[in-house]
Amino acid sequence: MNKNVIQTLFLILLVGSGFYFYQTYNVGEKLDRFVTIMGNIAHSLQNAKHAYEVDINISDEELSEINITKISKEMKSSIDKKKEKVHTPRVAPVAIAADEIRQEEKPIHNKARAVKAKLVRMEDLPKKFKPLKKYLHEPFKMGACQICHVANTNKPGDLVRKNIHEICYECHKTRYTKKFDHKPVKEGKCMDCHDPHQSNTKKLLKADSINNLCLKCHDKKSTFKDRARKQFVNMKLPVKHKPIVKKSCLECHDPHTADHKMLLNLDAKMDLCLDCHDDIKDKIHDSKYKHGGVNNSKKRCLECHNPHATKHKKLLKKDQVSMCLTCHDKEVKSDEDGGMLMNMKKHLKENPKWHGPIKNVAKEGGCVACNDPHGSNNFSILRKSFTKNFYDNFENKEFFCFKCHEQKKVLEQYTINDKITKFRDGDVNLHYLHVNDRKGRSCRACHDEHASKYNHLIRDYTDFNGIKFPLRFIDTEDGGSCAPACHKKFEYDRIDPKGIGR
Amino acid sequence: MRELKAIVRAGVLLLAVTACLFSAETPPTVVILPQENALVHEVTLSVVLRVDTKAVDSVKILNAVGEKQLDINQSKSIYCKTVRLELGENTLHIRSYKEGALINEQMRHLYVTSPLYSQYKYPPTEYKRQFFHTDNNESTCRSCHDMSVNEQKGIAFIDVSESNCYACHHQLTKAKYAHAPSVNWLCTSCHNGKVGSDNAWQAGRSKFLVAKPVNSLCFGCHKKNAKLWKSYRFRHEPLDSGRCNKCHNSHASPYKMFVRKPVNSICLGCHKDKRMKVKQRDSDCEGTIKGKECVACHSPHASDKQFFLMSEEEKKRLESKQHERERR
Repeated sequence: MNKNVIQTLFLILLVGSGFYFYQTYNVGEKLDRFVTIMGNIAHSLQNAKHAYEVDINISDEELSEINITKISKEMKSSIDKKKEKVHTPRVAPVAIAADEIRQEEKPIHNKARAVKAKLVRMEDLPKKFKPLKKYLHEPFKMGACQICHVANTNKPGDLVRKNIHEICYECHKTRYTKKFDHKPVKEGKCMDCHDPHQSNTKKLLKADSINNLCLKCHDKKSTFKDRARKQFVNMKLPVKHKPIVKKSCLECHDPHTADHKMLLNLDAKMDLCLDCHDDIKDKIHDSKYKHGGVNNSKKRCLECHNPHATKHKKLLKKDQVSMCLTCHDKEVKSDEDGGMLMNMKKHLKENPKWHGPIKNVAKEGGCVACNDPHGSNNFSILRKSFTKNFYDNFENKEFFCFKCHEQKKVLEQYTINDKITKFRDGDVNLHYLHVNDRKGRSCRACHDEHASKYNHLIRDYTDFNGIKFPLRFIDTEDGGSCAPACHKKFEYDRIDPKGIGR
Repeated sequence: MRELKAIVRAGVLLLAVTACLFSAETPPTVVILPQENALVHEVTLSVVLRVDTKAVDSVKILNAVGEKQLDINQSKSIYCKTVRLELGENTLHIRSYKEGALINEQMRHLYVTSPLYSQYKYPPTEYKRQFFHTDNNESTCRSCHDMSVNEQKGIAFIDVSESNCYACHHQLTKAKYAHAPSVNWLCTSCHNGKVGSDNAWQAGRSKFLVAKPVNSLCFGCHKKNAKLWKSYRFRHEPLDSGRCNKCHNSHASPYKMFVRKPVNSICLGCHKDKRMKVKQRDSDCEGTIKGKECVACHSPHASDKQFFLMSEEEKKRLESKQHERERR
């Protein structure tokens, strides 16, 4: 009795668990799939011999229609394009690539078709086409109106197809298939820019020059209610990018289609600019110290420069100093050593006495008089060498300061010339005392390069071993006094010498 | 019997209480600082007194160096005064007067120790080091002085008298040659309250302790010297043990390089065997005959040569330095 009960219970458990596993792991489905896969393999093994045979039937008519030369040309061009993409993606100049594309665009007019159609003689053309202009559309020149227009209708000028761009693309086969299309191209409005019959400008344009054509839409005053009006170029501004003036917009932009935003053939942020500006390319890529504004920013060149036209020199977006201060209005992380750069805007605001170049931007060049915004081999992207040290004697060193300031200032031990230096006690040049010999101090020990509260750009604090010591400078009419950490309060006077250095 | 015992006990208790009351009768002047048998390291000391303004109208502090007078007014009861001490044992007499008559006299025995003088190097055992900057002591001063640290880390005062330390300690920097951190009152850059291996027992006793040995603090700024001296073969003992402060006074000194005494007397303080020879100018050493300083030939820190003799380069360097100084 007991045995039977145990056996039945065991059986029930076994069946139950089996059912459970069947449900949860979809065993049936998997089995089915396995069977079909195996069947397929078996079938393909049996029919292996016939696997690649294909039946193709082409009639003679179809064969005659295939234009072998054309196909081969198209194929070649497409292969060339691929090669271009594969081998020399960056080196290949934009202009050449664009030229090749333009060459492809030139359609070979099927004369046979034209001949079949009724040719219109020049004399028979409607009056509105006369006098003829400089450049003529090839079919128009041949008088093969029927390529585009419907023959023998009451309405002259009826088109073969409803959409004009479809007619264009019938001959101009190169479709615009890159990443970004010009809006008129995308919408098939070829006639917005090109005249289908004739024009005095190359490429049958509807304006007297390429630039003017572009500016028809891309102008602030344009009636065009689209993005184009926002992306305007103000050609009335005094500083313009040379290619726009000397050549045309097409130096940088492609009118139809391009791989980069703003219809550019290279990346707008930097690559495109550096394609022409070789000298700066070297600076940006090879210099030891790089400017974060170019090297590590979102808009790269366009952070500071406007590619078209501005009010300010060097196509800067703003006045030179305020351009720098747009970023340096807070503590910025330095690309050089990862340290924090000072908040220059605050510094200039708090310290009213500025260094000449900052004070007189137009004449002396602003921040860029000393700092090279594109990068430099000297620290703090300075244009010439300087020192970071407190102690750095003047001898045999080409400090940047002496590009403008005279070396006599520190070389003449005795002088009474106010033009050479006013830091004198009687005739003893105190600059000479501070700067020369073994423990000669660098300029920055006492002077701030940018701005200060005191005259002569004397610092309020000097950094010595990581501690800020005040200089406690007091300026008087004929002299002054200092009481830094280096020495006690010493006074100097140009007229009534106090006897320092004697 | 039991009752008798209880009565006796009560009587004893009563006696004790009355004795306490009598003894606790406060004198007109209480000397808060220094405590009796204090061990002092500097020759200046602040004396802090609590004066009963009704009973006393002037206080004199006398010692072997001189005397100082304090005029007592009604407005405050706590007074402090800095006095000069001499090395070794000192006795301070604090005398309170009322209308010219002496009404109270108290004494404090102190000992000023210095590692530079063999006779003051090891103070008698009854003198004990005392620490001032504890919460308890500071609370007495707080009525007049701001006892907080108002120093900004790494930025020196434009006007040094703004420092809260200045009012009491300004005597420290009055000497001719003053060390920049001290004369700019960047006190906490060294007096950070930490202790080193040499003064571990002091931990927590005061707020402004200096870690000893002090060399890690010194070499924090004088990095070049540290590097240079480490490279030499022979190093002077105080340098090696990190006790720069043995010869140098890190605050100020009347002598160049902040040495505590004229150079020769520092050297001869330890090198006693040379003392007579130098005095009588009777030595193999040419310098003693010419009456030069020891450091003219011997490097006080480290050298590659025996007897810490300076190399020619080092001598030249020093000479040029001297030359530079003279030109200025």
